[in-house]
Amino acid sequence: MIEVHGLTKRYRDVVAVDDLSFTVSPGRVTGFLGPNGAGKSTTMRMILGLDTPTKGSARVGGRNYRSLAAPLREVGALLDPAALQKSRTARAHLQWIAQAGGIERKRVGEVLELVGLGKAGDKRVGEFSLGMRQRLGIAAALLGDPAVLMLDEPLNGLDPEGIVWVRTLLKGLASEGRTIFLSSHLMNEMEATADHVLVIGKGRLIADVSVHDLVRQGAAAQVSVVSPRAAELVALLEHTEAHIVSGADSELIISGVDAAEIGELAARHGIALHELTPRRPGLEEAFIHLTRDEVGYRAKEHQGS
Amino acid sequence: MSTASVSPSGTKHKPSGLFTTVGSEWTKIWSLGTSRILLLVAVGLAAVAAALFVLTSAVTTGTGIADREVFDVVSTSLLGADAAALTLMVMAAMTIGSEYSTGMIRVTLTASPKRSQFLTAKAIVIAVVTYVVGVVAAFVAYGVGQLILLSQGLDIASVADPRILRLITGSAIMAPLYGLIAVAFGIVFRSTAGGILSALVALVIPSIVGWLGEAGNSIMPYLPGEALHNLAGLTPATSPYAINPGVSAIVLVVWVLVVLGIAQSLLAKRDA
Ligand SMILES: Nc1ncnc2c1ncn2[C@@H]1O[C@H](COP(=O)(O)OP(=O)(O)OP(=O)(O)O)[C@@H](O)[C@H]1O
Ligand SMILES: [Mg+2]
Repeated sequence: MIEVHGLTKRYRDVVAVDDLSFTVSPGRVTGFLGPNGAGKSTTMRMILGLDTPTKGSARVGGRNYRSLAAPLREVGALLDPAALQKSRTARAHLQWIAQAGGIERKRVGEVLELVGLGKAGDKRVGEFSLGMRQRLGIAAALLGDPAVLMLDEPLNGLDPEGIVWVRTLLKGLASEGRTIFLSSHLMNEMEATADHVLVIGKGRLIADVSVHDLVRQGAAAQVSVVSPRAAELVALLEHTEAHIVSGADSELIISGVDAAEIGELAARHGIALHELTPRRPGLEEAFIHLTRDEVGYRAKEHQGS
Repeated sequence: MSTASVSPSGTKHKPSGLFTTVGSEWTKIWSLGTSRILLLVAVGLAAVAAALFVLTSAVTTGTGIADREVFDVVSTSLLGADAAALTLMVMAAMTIGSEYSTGMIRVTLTASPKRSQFLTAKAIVIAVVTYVVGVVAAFVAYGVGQLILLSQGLDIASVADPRILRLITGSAIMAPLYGLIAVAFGIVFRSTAGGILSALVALVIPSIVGWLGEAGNSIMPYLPGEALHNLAGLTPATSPYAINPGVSAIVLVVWVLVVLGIAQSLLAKRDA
């Protein structure tokens, strides 16, 4: 369980985290979503007692992280997989962390096997690919068999097989009753991984919803239509509530009316439809919709092409 | 890999405290390629520098080794130990500086959130490793000097002589002294360069005070450099800088504690 109350972090001229309050519950995977610079990493650093909040508090298992008697056995964290001294072997890297946490030496071999680095244990971490470093970071987080796992963008740099592996691992850990909290940019990946999401923008909480609800309350439903007489269909749709989102040659994306209405309209006028597909908006659309006004660093839309 | 269980097989944990943190820092220093190399370099450099300084003594001091007291020749050969101490100081600065440059300091402070405990453990390990290697380097430097004396058929100095033993083991204190200063300022400036430069400044302060002439006499023995000379028995009793070796030991300890205290106050209140 992670509890955050009124958490605020101000750096010289930016408010990175702004009066954030939320609870991350055990037994499910909670995604932490937000555009670049939203304050995800800063929030995680404050939860780990690395950065001191300007205001507010963060508690893990009911206590301030820095006052935990055995922090690694309560919380496993991965902030930055590249935060390594490169000339050390993977095994030695895990060994010093284990020692600092009062964890048995033999656990190092176990977590190396668990993350699939059993054979690479004696290689220098400088030779590791980004994906291998992610796995090593996850191994370090698992050393203390913690009840709370907090990972900052753990899917970055992983190949598809690795992504599936992390997803399965996290779901398994959550089903054991652990608290799993991970941030990500890959919104669609969150859809497949998280049960619940916290969405932040400019340091403020935008949504605290289940993935199911987020998708449903997101962007309005759309229908994709392919017809050889698309132009005629567009003319007919002008007399309805429909809005043509995009139309290229024979293919149309339509919102405002449902697939049944479009199908019946086409049938009444004898227009053949080659395709009529309701498009369920993904988490990506829902996310962009939610954070539209809260993006810290949005690409300037009128520039470029 | 899917067959491995997530939970540990048969949990047996030690409570984490200063002892486990020292163990962790110990593993860290010995598993780091750069520090292992620099520890070897320090000892090798001690031998080479000792040979150079002893063999060129006629040029650099105006008196050949044949015409110098054997104690002076030992002291010249121990310039090799000073070269080793500087290498060990660089090693100490790098161990902490590279934690900051890679961001690994955040892993360290997540594993050891009690910052005073982490700093104490780091200081203990740096002090022990640099002193032990510093003593080895000092004996090597002394040995090289003696071999040169022997090869020229000159009298040698025995380590059974308490003055010689104090000179060797006392000179080796230079390594932990500047090593700890480098670690403290490596934390203050969050960089290897900051640690090294600060230790070098501490090293040249006595020379700067020396330019003051008489005016500097009263503070000179209380600066780290001269306190170290007093402790090793390098300051003649007639020198204006001479102080009791017990006092000089206390002076050195106070310097180290003050510098580590500055590092601790920043480490405790600053964001990692
Ligand atoms: N140490 C710092 N000093 C000054 N500003 C900082 C510092 N750390 C973060 N910030 C600022 O705080 C804001 C939030 O940054 P943070 O790294 O927490 O965002 P994020 O959500 O993790 O972004 P990303 O998705 O890109 O990782 C940004 O504007 C960033 O520039
Ligand atoms: Mg981030």
